[in-house]
Amino acid sequence: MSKQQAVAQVVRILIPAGKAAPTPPVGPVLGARGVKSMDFCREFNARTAHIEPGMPTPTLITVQPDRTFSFVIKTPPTSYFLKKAAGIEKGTGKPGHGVAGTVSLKHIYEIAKIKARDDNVKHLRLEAIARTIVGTAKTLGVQVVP
Amino acid sequence: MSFLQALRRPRLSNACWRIRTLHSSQSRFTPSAGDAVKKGEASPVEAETSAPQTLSSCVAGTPLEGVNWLKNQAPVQALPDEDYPPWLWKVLEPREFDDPEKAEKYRLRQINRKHIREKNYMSTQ
Repeated sequence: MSKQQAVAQVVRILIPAGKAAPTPPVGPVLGARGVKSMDFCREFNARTAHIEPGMPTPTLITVQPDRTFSFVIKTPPTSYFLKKAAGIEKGTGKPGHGVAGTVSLKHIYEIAKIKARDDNVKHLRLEAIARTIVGTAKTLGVQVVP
Repeated sequence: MSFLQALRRPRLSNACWRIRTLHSSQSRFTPSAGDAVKKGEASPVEAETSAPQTLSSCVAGTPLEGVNWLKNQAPVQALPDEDYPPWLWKVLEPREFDDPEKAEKYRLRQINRKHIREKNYMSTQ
């Protein structure tokens, strides 16, 4: 075996904006990697202060071997926006069969404008982002009406 | 494959016209400009299908739910149809390409992906 090298650990987690607390699920996940959860929560809440409180915010936390951390915040999941726009709690259990809710193209446009702020889609045209959202709606069972 | 070979293939524009005629047989909705803000469902209205403009069922002024993600953001309202980019009305239809080579590349990529998915599934059986 080669010499053990310390590697940065990555944590993917969905946290309500402005409401990070040391309690589960955030606390144990960070504590297991040696990060002080109070520090993280304070910083996270400060960075998500402009977002509507309670919005599920995907974050990618990178914990270095010396227990320092950095995190990236992304826009809320597309499925969350679509379910809210259609007024449904859950998508259909059988994608492709049956309609769970309806959404207008104008909703799709507005959601695409929000998602365009994400780093991983910066190279895409707004039309391409809108098409991916229509694809997500299809798997949710949400019908898109012009 | 040569450029001439690609030119000889049936034009995609025929498919587009077919799709357009399918849509015209369904009912279309008109926007009524300057409508008062309506809570709940927008009421659809029948319109002539020969209108060149694509029409939306969402009347201007309808509040759009689920799009408020910033704190203290004013409720987002639907704008009149003209304020939206023209590509938005084609987002539900399959993609059209002006360049036949790009169209071929797209088509082949779809076929390849489908083939890979089927092969992966069959390897689990």
